[in-house]
Amino acid sequence: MDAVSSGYQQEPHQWRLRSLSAGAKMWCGSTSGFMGAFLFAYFYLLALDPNHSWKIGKNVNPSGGLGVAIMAVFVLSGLLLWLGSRRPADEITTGVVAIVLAVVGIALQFVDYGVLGFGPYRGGYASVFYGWTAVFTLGALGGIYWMETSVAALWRARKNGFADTDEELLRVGLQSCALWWSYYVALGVLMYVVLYLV
Amino acid sequence: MTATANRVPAQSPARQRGLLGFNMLTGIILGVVGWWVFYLLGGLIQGYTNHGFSQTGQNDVQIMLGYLGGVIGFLGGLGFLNYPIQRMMGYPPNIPDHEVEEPGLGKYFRLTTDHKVVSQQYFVGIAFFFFVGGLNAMLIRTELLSPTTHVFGAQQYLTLVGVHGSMMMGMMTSGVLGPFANWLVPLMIGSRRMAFPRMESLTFWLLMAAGVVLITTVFFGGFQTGWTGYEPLANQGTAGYDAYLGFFGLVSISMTLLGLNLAVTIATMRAPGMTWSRLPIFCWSVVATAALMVLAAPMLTATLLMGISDRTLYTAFFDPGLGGSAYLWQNLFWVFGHPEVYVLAIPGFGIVLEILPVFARKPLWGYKIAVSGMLGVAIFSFFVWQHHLFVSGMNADLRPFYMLSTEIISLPTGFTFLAFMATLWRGRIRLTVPMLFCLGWAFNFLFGGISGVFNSDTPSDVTTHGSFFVMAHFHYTIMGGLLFSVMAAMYYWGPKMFGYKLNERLGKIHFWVMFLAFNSTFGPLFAVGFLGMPRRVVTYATNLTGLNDWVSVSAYVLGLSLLLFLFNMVYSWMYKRIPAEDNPWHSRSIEFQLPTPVPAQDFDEIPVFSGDPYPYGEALAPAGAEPATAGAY
Ligand code: HEM
Ligand SMILES: [Cu+2]
Repeated sequence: MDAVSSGYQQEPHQWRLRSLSAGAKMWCGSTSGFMGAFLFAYFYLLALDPNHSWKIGKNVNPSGGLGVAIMAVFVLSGLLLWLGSRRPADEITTGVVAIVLAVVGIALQFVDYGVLGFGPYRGGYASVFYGWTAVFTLGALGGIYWMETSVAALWRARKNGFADTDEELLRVGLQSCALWWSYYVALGVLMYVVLYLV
Repeated sequence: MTATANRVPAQSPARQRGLLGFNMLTGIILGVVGWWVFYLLGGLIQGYTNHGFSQTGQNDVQIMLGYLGGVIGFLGGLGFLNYPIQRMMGYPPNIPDHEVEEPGLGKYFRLTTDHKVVSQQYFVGIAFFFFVGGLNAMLIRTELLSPTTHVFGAQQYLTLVGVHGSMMMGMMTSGVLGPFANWLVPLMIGSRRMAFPRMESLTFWLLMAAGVVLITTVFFGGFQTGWTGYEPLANQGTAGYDAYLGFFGLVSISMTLLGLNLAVTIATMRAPGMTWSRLPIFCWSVVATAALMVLAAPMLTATLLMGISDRTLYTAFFDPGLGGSAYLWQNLFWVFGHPEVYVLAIPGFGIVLEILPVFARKPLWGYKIAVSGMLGVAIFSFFVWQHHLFVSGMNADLRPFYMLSTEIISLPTGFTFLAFMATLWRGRIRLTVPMLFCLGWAFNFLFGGISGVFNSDTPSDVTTHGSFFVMAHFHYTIMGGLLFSVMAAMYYWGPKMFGYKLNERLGKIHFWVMFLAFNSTFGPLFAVGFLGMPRRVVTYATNLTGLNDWVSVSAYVLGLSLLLFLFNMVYSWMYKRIPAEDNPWHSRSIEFQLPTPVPAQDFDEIPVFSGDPYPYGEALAPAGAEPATAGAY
């Protein structure tokens, strides 16, 4: 292969921006694979129903109302972050609200665990229920970390009027985060529909 | 908007010199501390007692938490928490766009953002654990010298098999992408770095943590399941299985991030002129492999989390008594597992096809066919997993589908062979050491592929499944295939990576001993399998003693051949130290146009590419002469 020098000592600025957004998209792919395993487990155990133990005993049903509430809080968080990441004027406010909502969502999930009335050993359904909601919550914590860093960077840069900071990079960072977070929340909707409503 | 902000130079060389600071030593110390702290905390947590698994009387919560604490401490000691904490405080991303020279050995024991250093770390780290896995193999063959148990008991034997298989599968997964893709991709596409350099380093240290976790299984009674970790045996087993779960959990995370990083780098950071159709074939193999890693490895993470929660949170994913199913593990494992076997195959294709044109002095034949073959294999590999379950209680109606889909995967595999053979056709072949290993790859992998067709044919799989035939099959593909291609890569790029020549004569002896011993070890195992010897059983029928002894002796010679390679490296790189030329093979690819050793910043300026990646023969570059147009490098 023939190659000559470009005369550019620094790499094209585009690279940083593009690798952030491409990285977020691929991370969506990984997340799908991860969540897909639980979806698979749900339908596999439902269909196979070994020993008729899909649900052992009575009352192995979570409260649909609480499920919808959790779902609504997460959806709102995803939506706000997504919209806010496209409006520089509101990005900090919407970002902070999105984080708070995610925290509320996690808290509600724990409230739910407290009032459920069935343990994880009560059959295939209960196992998937606990396992899936637990990893979703764990992932949401990761989401909160990502949102927090994106928003904090913008907030700090704004304080200095974006002196010495790559404003575009920070913005693409927030947008990439919003892309993944809304995708994650959408996967969460699927999970809540399957676990709480079906 | 300033484009130049955030481009701080790489960390100043003076920082973190001594033993104090964020380095491997601190990591190990904090790792041990973390293990004990979390382990003791775990002891305070009382588990439920109304559940079957608690009857085993072992505290898995404690052990799993111990591993978690150990890994966090280790990574923290290496400095992996510093940057995330800075980011949480709102400091902007900070990625050097190229490295600066840093003298001393300290950089090899730390978090580093230099892709070449990470590659070298990977090489040494994987070689170490490969050595451990190899020793296990020797012990396994020692036990099999006689048809009764004589050295180890059944339990220990199974642990040996399990640790060997897990270690090899886990380490070799990154065996090409870790040491070679991390090194080559930024050079080949002219990007001077990976998209996420800290993540690149993280994948390496995670893998090292994983290897240690697996070894600790011996303190907890080992595990009896082999590398596939099948339920329900897994949950009936001892606490040593926790190490298996921890090991593959860490490997799967490392794998996902490694793939993601490489895929993003190739997708977004190609230098001007490096179009997709000029991408070196090795990079294409990385793309195909990375896609599998990004999509399939998280499924393994999820599956292992289910396994962990069965043992700690009392879910029952895999416990048939409580609504779970052992087959769920089998399925989920192989949904990941079959893509995984191609994670072990495709990089080999890439290495061989990259090296071949250099020693045939011809352009790569059928570039597009080879690319579509590799991508095709990658896509198909998601649709064949149940061929591992033909006789494990799957719905019989599904057999024909999986039989067909598996046999169809031989087609795109065949594309690679087509490109291989047609590139050799009328080439001016030079039988150098790397070339010999490439030819050895083709020979071995062909047997691996053909025996795969026997396995994928349901009627014949009824006899071969669970026998040494399957064992021979996958050793032909992985050891005969992947490991031979890794050897080719080591002889080809190793001197460039490490700066010193490897001894050619020793290399040739190494090749011939390894090639013959390999075939003499695994060839007879096909027969042993047909004669009905099952895998993972410590005893066997006495009439098979002769064959087994033959295999064991060959295996020792095979082990020796690898020691020969080790000797070559030590002798050539530490004792003789003859500096490697810039372009010893008269290659036209860009990494060989750079000086040896490659400078820290790779290129002073971002390169611009033009023309085909394999212009051999076109510009009248006869073997043995300098290439006519070497470009600016
Ligand atoms: C033409 C291509 C291939 C075909 C048709 C094929 C087919 C199969 C089938 C049907 C099995 C299941 C056998 C059984 O358990 O009864 C199997 C096992 C296996 N194959 Fe392949 N294979 C191919 C290539 C590969 C490659 C390229 C690799 C790795 C680099 C590989 C690695 C393995 C492994 C590790 C197992 C055994 C897993 C275990 O049970 O421990 N195969 N193969
Ligand atoms: Cu397979």
